[in-house]
Amino acid sequence: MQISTNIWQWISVICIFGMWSLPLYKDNPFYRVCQNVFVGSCAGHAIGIAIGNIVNYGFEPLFTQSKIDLLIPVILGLMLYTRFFPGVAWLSRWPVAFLVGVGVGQTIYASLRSQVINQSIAAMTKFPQPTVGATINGLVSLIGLLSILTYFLFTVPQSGVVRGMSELGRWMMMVTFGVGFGNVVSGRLSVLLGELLKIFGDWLGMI
Amino acid sequence: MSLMERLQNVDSRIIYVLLLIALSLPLLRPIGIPLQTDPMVRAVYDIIEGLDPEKDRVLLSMDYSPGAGLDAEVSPVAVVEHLAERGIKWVAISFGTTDGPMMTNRIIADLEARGYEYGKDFANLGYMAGEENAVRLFALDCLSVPTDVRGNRTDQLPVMQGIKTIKDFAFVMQFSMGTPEMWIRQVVDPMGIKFATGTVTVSVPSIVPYFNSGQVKGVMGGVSSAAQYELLCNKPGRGAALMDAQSMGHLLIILFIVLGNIGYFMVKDKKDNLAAGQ
Repeated sequence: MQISTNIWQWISVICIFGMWSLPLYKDNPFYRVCQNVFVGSCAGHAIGIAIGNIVNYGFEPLFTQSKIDLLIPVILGLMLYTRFFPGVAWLSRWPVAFLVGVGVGQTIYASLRSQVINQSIAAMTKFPQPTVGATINGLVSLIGLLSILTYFLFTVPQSGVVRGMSELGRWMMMVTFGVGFGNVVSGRLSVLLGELLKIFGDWLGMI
Repeated sequence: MSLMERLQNVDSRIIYVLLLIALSLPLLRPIGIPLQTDPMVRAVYDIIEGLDPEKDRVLLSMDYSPGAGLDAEVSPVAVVEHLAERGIKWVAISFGTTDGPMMTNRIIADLEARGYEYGKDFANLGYMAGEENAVRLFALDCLSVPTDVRGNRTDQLPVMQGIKTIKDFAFVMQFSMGTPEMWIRQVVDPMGIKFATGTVTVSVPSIVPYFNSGQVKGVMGGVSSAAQYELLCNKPGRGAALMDAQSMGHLLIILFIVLGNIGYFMVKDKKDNLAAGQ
């Protein structure tokens, strides 16, 4: 075992213990200091990156390369801040409208193609598949798709075959949620393992 | 209070401490639990193995933050290690989070310490604001990023020579904390690029349909995928080191769930019997 002499490793590990003190003990000043250090450093970093972006993508090409067309986004960006001046606050709606319009326009047509049409095509499996396993997979996928769609069929009375399919759809969704929860647990364990690796490896030198 | 009733009211701190012990012991004394390779992980490996170091370049979209911990960080480290070993040049950029360039710099620092050259073997183009629109803009004109994180002009970087659009990259991989829909919508489907994704474990089920449809060519999810990838490369790293502990953690949680459910049903039966007796 060889304890690290790097001050940043110490700060990092102290902050880990600070964050652990909430679930293992209770809310306390040590936890709140560590939490605020994290939030503050994240905010500071984001501001630094944002300023760098404004200079890199806006001011520098505008002033050094005379890209006059960049004046439009710069002015639209500045208009966002008019909301702090009640008399001209309405001006801030223009850039917001522009951003929403471009964002929605850019996304809608692409979503239809990629997430509806292409996914629907992929769902149309040919039977039988080359192997038994693939055929079973395809069948489970197809039955899952149809039964879950039936579950959300609200315009038909839920009785007879529709009710059976709907019930199956509910079970399929429960299995899916279980898989999702399992992955959440696994992911959170990985985060915890990262912290343990820092403590035992980087800090204490035991690994 | 019976044992079964106590199981219903275990102090969560006891569970935390038991979990810490279960995770710590295999970290300090690895057991060597064998790993199976997932076809989605092997697909990423096969793509990189199929690249030509002389002419192919790879784009990495680094869209993860330190908050996601090792679950997000081990996959890009494993893939970059593979790229470096094969001598394939790569370029990193970030669209989803402002922390991406910082996370890339951590990987680059390690490579530079081993003699790899910034600008020639790899480059970090920093963060480009605008998310989905920025992805589309960059895909159409990769030189729309004027400078990299070190202030070098992008069009003068050796690694960027000959790159104009995203189709000039032989392979694109996004590392994120979520799902890659914006890449699929804006670049993969309209431009037909070879694309794979690395994400945190929790997001893997949401990506599998895109792998099945062929829109995503490979998927890496969290520490377990990274461990498999490291073993495929014959270079066990942090991912492989963590898998024993991860497996022990899973076993302990399964045990808690089973005991909790046994306790629940036994107490419920007891209450039902008492109610029937009255």
